[in-house]
Amino acid sequence: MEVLTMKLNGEQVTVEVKPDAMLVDVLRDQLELTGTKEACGEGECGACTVLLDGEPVTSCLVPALKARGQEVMTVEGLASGGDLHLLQKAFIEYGAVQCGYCTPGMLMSAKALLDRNPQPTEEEIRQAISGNLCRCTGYIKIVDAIKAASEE
Amino acid sequence: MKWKKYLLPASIEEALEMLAEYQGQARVIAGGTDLIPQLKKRERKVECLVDISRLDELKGIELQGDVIRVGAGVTHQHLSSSDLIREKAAALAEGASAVGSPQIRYMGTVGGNIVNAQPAADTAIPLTALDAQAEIVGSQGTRLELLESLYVRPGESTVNASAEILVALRFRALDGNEGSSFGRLAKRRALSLPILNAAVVTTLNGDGTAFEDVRLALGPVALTPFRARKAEEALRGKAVEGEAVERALEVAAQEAQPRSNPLRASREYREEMVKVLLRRALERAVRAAEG
Amino acid sequence: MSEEFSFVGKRVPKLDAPGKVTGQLVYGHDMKVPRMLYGKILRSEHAHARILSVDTSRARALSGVKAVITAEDIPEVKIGWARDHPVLKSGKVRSTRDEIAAVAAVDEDTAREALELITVEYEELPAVFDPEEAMRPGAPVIHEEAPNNIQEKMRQSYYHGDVQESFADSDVVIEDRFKLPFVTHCCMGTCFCLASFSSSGELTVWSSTQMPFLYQRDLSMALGIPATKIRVIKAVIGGGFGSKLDMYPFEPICVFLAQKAGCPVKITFTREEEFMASPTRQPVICDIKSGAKKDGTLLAREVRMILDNGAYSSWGSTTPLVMMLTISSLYRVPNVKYDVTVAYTNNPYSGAMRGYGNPQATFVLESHMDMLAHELGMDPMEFRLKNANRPGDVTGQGVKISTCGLTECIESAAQSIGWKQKRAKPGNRGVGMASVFHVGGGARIYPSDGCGSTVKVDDFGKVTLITGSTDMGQGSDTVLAQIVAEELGVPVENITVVNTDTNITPWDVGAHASRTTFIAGNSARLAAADAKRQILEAAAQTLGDKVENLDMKDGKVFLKGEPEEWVPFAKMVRSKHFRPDGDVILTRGWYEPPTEKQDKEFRGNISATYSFATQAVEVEVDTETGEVTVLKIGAAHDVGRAINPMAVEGQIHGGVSMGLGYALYEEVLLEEGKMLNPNFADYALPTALEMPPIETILIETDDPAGPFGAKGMAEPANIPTAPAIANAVYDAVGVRIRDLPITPEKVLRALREKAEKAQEGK
Ligand SMILES: Cc1cc2nc3c(=O)[nH]c(=O)nc-3n(C[C@H](O)[C@H](O)[C@H](O)COP(=O)(O)OP(=O)(O)OC[C@H]3O[C@@H](n4cnc5c(N)ncnc54)[C@H](O)[C@@H]3O)c2cc1C
Ligand code: FES
Ligand code: FES
Repeated sequence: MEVLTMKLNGEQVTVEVKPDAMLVDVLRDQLELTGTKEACGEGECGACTVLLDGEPVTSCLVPALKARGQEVMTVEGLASGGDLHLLQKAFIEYGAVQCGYCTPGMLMSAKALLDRNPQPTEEEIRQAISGNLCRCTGYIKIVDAIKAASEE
Repeated sequence: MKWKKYLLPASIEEALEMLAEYQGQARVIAGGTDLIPQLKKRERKVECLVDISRLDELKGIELQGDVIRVGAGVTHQHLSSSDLIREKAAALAEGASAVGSPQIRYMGTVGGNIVNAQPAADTAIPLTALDAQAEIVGSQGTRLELLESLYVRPGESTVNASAEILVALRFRALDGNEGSSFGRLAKRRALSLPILNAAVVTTLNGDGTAFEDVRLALGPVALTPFRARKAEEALRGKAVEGEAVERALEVAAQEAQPRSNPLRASREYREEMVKVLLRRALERAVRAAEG
Repeated sequence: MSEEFSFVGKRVPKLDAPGKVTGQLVYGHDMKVPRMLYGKILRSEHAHARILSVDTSRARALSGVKAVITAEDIPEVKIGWARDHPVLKSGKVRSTRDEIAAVAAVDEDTAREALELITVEYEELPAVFDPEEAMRPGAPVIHEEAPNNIQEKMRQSYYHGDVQESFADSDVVIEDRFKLPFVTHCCMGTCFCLASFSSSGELTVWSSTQMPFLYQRDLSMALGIPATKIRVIKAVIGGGFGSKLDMYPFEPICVFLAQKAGCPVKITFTREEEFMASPTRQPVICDIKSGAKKDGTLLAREVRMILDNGAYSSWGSTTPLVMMLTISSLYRVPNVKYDVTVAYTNNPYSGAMRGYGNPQATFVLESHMDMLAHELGMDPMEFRLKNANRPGDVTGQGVKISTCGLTECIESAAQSIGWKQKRAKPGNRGVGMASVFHVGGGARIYPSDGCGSTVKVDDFGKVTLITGSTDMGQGSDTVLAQIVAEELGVPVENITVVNTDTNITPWDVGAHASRTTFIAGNSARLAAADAKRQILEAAAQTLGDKVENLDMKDGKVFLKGEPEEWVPFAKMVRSKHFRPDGDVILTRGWYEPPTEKQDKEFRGNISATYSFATQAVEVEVDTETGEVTVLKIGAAHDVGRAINPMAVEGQIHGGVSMGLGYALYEEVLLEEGKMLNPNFADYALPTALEMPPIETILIETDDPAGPFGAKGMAEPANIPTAPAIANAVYDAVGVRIRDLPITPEKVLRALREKAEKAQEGK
């Protein structure tokens, strides 16, 4: 076992992990942050997207120890205090959520986009979520929600 | 998976020492976007991973004289948004922006793209057309090699990732009369490996009417990134439009010999597409060289 | 129109959305219970082989392994509607997904390792992968019980009118063959099952099922455990689309493992497993002949279909019944003949998938409608309008069409993409359209098509709807809450929906056939109406007024015409409860649609109403690469009434994206029965970059049988997209693609053939 210390959703955490553990598994199984989903395990769907030092990464391909000393943000870290993040509110209000399995990953990709580009065009939004598959919504309301959040 | 150690060296030197210590049982990991899936599927076995993704020494994009030096640890995201690359090696920026998805581009590096040795890697094809050289360090010191010579067969590079580190790629920044471009066919616009990709670098003569020099790279049509040298020869000195171009495209399709693949497309279709992709890429490269 | 309503017709956000955007909602995939083990299944390496031996001794010896089972350890029962599918296979395997053994271990890694320690000796048998070949004499026999490889129970012939005669009367007759591929659901959340026995012997199964009550019955049969000892709870799932309509072998396997290990066991499919071992949409080979008069009157349709059933029968092999409805009743067509044969092959088996056969049937029919129009020299839109179904029609199959917005759908979809200006224009752009006919008021395929509901109002005014229906993510709970809120007259925030726990919820046949809003909606409305009656009666007593004079809205009870003076409804509920002969508000609603089962000749009105829709698309074709880009889609849907327009649009968008995938990108590629592309890189779902803008047009025909006029609409969204795109490709570049997906390579080849023909013509 190895000691992994990272800043997770704003808080310093330390966990013992297997040297070959994947970040998604540490988050879901050890830290019980099951908001992050795993839907392919191969980097091909984006469901497991989290922010590593502010950048969107597919946590199913990230060895947990890569996060040593870094900042990790999951969907659980989006809301601050009792307040939902603008993106979360917009996803609810615009009907961007159906089964919701893709939602946490979508939100994190969207957050990464807005952090860099607060006023993205529709094409930029579509590009930013092109690594996140959704089978339910046809993406349209997701794009609308991200646009609405960016205009707030 | 089952690696027993995950190391985060602070310098290239330290990384090399770590690799040496494991005597072939350790391996370099950068973004992990190729390596982790391979380890998950147990296509590879390692005892130890040496993570080089935090080494600033590997992350620069610099213009040194007329040479551009791209650190092996530069991500596709960085590469595709670099003004220097967009201006002086557009094909490389375009290739990098075609990789996988935003997440994969934030994680994946140009070094990994090369050492993973796939014949259609989206930065390898433009780098081949740019005639890039690779800087590699090992216990014996640094060696400089032509990019093309690093390829053995799909998945096998002459860079020994258990002992050496690819440090950087260097190529000449394109001049005013030169242009480059990249083209790609895939099932969809994201998350798709190419059915075919192509990169073109052209140098035009003084009045911009003929090709002084051309380099054409294609993938996946052979075991390694492919230079269509016969077609290049057929273009050299010829007018930028017209008969000669069409003949050269035929030559390229002939020499490339793509194969049928149920996941990609038939040989016939891909042969046809070699011409279409190259024609389009040539047109754009010529326009870039003129502009 | 919806002004008169407080909650119906409003864009109410999904009730479960907050839990989903925060990551707080626990999906089945996230569930863990104490002592839980992880189950894994060993599947066949061959498509058709005799099993000579299975040696599990090394797996059993592995530390951390708690149970290993093979066919020997479980009762010999076959599952599936045709009872042709052993849970664990002995004797032989018939496809590469076949389950041979299973293990339960303390963690996933150990379970995986254990599987690798199991050795199976096979003797390979000749196999057959093409349904036409499978039916030829001398083909390898897949099931002894079906020596000709035909699923006899689904060999069907239907007719109305006389096709032979009417072809003779037709001015134009055309005949073609179409082929549809294997595709699959690709739910983002894979299948799972968690089984646990209590000390008293009750089995609880948390599963991803869409039909908990039939599932309870099927489990009982497969396990030999009385249904009275089985509790089924649908955990939160990541999409269904029909894939969770049947019980599959992994589910009884999970229970057997739990039984053997004496601990709860959970099986979660990996993505690869989901691709290979969950069902597919069935491939179809279809020959069709259509005839029409010069004036554009459609006269006759003759359709012969062959379906690839795969190695076993799940619901996929019953889809011809739905296809038949479309073939007999999409557009007015006086003469129809339809024959279907379902053949066993050594391919993966097929199941229910959004549209249930209708995407295939509609692709064929609507492509052919287009071809007929071109033969006739008519605008395909005019041709469709001329033959469109109308309200009050009774079709040859005995389908009674009540409300029908097909004409409006065709016209408004066409208008939204500029049909008139863009059709038949030079260049590489083109327009195409296709319509859909589908059940919209349930589908009586089972003795009961009903749903039960209970409404409970507590002393604080919290309203609980306990519904038999299942929400898979489509948002039906929210729609039901809106219906209850509207009918009862309380704010939607007061309402909680409890669903899918067979110990608690009343019966429902399951989430299929786009029936939930209609059937469960009607049922919930009945229960809510009763609750309202009781509250108003209590209010009448307490306030000393007549019931007829009182009304309730937004949680307020008031005298009609004087809404400013009101009392809170919860107070009235308490006034009923806390009095000498007190009672609580606990009501029930059972809705069974006024429909009939089909007779032996397949005639009968199986749905209480029918849905219609038309999608029109504009495409651009790159004639050098053959790539097709969809520029815009206009989707006009007769939804009866949109109880929640936002949810309806969401269904349409999602349906269109699945239809877009079917049209252009998706195909399960098989080689000798082995899947070549069991991953999201090689099986290409549309990404956000592929989705064109969609204009949704909701046609509200206010169905008298539907709850507040609503009818089912979720499947139809998925059905017309592919033929509309194929028709648009024809309009753009003059080539007809008869087999999906429309790959660049097929388009280019067709363009080349067309050019060669033109050359020869000269
Ligand atoms: C979903 C998905 C989509 C993808 N799409 C594309 C695509 O469209 N186009 C494309 O070209 N690729 C694609 N890839 C492949 C991959 O992302 C790229 O090849 C990427 O550039 C690899 O870089 P990396 O840093 O992640 O490499 P790693 O996985 O870290 O390493 C790859 C190999 O290179 C070795 N290595 C890495 N860096 C060095 C170094 N500096 N010195 C020595 N050895 C080194 C490693 O030991 C390993 O063998 C995709 C991958 C995924 C998962
Ligand atoms: S689960 Fe990580 S990308 Fe699909
Ligand atoms: S909401 Fe179901 S996958 Fe996106």
